[in-house]
Amino acid sequence: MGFDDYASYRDFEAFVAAAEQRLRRALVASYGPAIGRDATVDALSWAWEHWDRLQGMDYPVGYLYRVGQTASARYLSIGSSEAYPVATSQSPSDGEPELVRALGRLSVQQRSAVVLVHGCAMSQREAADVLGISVSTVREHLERGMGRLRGELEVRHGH
Amino acid sequence: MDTEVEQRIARLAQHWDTSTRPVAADEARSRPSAIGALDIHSVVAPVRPVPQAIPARRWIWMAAAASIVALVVAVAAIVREPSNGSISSAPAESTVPTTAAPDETAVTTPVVEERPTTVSDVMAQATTRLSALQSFRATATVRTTQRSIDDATAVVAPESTTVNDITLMADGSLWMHGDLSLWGSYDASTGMSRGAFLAADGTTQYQEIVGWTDNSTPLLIALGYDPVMRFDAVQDTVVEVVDRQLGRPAWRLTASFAYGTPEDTTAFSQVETYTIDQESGLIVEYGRTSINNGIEDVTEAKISDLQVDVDLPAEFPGAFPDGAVVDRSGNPDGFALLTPETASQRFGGELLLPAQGDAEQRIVLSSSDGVWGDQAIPVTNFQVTVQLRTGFVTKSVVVSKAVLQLGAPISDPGALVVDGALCRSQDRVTCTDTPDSAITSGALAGRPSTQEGRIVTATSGPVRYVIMAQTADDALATANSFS
Repeated sequence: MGFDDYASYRDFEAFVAAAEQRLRRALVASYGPAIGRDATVDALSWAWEHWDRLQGMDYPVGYLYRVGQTASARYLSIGSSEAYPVATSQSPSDGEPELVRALGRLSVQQRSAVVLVHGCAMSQREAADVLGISVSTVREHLERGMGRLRGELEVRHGH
Repeated sequence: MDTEVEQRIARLAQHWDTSTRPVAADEARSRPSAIGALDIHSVVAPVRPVPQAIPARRWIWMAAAASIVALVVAVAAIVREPSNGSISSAPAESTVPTTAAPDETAVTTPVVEERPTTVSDVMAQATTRLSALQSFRATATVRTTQRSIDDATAVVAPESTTVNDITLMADGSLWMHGDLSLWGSYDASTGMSRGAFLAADGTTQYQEIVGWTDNSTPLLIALGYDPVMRFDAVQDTVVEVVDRQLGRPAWRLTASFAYGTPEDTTAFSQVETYTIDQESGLIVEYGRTSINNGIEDVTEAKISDLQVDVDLPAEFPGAFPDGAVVDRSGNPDGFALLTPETASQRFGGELLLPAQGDAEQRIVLSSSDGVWGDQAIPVTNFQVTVQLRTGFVTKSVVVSKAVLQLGAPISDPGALVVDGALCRSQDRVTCTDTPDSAITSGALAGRPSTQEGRIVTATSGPVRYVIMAQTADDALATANSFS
C-alpha cells in the first residue's frame, strides 16, 4: 500500500475520466465554451483540493456543477463579454449566431436543460443528476426553454 | 422525431463539444481553485433542505443537546476560575508505529474565555493563534462508516478506524507513522513525498512521488481533514462554544448543505462540524455526516496528544535501504521554487507581486497548452502562484495569462493581443473590463477589480490576478500592497 492507494490519487484520475465530460458539457451549456471550460477546470481543482469531502457524495457531479457556477460568477464579475457567446458568435464553424443569441436570452437553467437534453442527448434523468436538480424541474425548464426558442426561431423562419 | 430547432441545437452542442478541450486531471491538480470551501453557499441559488426523517431528528436532538452543553458551559464560565490546561511541551519524537486508542478519558470541566458569535469572529481569533504557530505533533484518529438510513443494522461499508502520529510544520513539511505507513513524509522544499508501507504479504514496500506542490494528499491521508480551514460567513453556519478532551476551551462550527427534494433520489444533504482549539487555532475535531440515496456516510476525525513548536524527527524526509526497490512516480517538472526575478523572467511581461512583509514567500510557476475563447484559439497558459505564509496562516496570489501560440490564427473578432497575451476587447484597442475597482493603493490601484468575501480578482490588461486570504480584510490589504 502507498500514498496513492490511500489518497485516491489515481481514483481522482478515474473520477475525472468518468465525470469531466458531463461536467464540462453542463457548464458549457450554461455559460458558453470559454467560461464553461474555465469553470470546469476550477470545479475539478476544487474537487482535488476537497477530494475527501467529494468522496462522500453519490452524485458529486451535481455538486461540482454548483462549484462551477460559483467560478463562472467570478469570471462574469470582471466584466468578461464571454458570459455567453451571444455577441461574439460569428464564427462560420458555429454557423448558428441566431441560435446562440436566442439561447443567450434564456435563463441559465433553461438553456442548460435545453442544450444537455437536445444538444448532448442526455436523458432528463441524466441532466437532473448533473445539474443537481429534480427531473420535474428539468422538465419544466426544458418545456419553457424550448417554447421560447421555437417561438423565436421558427416564427422568424416562417415555420 | 426531432424538430429543426432540436437538430440545430444538437449541431451546436456537438461543435462546442469538439472545440472545447477536455480537462485532464493534471490540469485540475496544477491549478489552485479560486473557490473557498464554503464559498459555494454564498453564490449559488438557495438550496432546499432535505427532510430525511431519521438523520433530521437526530441532528435536532444533537443541536438541542449542544445547546444544553453550551448553557452549562456558560454557567461554568461564570463560577469557575480559568483553566490551567495548556499545550504540552514536545517530547522526543518516536518512529514506533502506534495503534493506541484516542484519549477519551481526559475530559475536564471547560472554562470559556471567549464567546464569539459569528464565523468572522472565530476566523479572526483562530487566525491570530495560527499565525504564531510554527509546528505541531499529534495523534490523529479517523473513523469512517456507511450505513442504510432505513435499516440501522444494514452496514453498507464496515467501520474503518486508523490511528497515526503526525508532525506537521507550518511550511507544509510533514512526517507520519502509524496504521497507514511505517513512515511517510512530504518535503515542502523539494515537493517530494516518500513512504514505507507494509504489504499484505508482510514485506515492506517503498514509494517516492515527485512534483507535488503541496501536502494535501498525505495530510488528508493522515488527518482526514485540513486542520487549517477557511470559513466564510454563511447563514446556516452555527457557532458554539464547547469543551474538548484536553480541557481547553474550543469553538465549534456547524455547517449544513442540502439540495433536492425528499422524493428525489439525487437529493443530497450534509452536516459538518469543526471544533477549533482556542489556544492553537487548529481544527482538532472534524465530523461529517452526509446522506444520499438512502445511505448515510459518516466521517469522524480528531487529533489528541497535541504538542506545539516541535521539530521534525532526525530521520526526515526518510531514506530507503540500500538495494530497496522503490516505486517512483510523479511529474519531475511539476514543482520548482522560484525567486521573484526568475518568476518574472519566465512569466514574461509585467508581473506585479504583493508586498512580502514579514511573511515567508514561496513562488511556483506552471504552464500548460490550451485554447482560448469560443473560437478555441491555441494558447499557452502561464500561471505564477505566490504564497505568503505567517505561521500556519497562508495567503496566495495567482497570476495568469493566456499567451497566443506562435503562428496561431486569431479567428475571433472580439480577441485582442496585448504583449503576446489574449484578452477580450470591444474597441480593438484595450481589454474590456469592469469599470469598477476595489483596489485603492499599490500597483493595482484603479485596475479593474472586484471583491467577493476573501477573494479579490483584478485584471491588468490580459493578466489576471486572484488574491485569496484568510479574511476579507486581509485579502483587500494584500491586493492594496502590490508593487
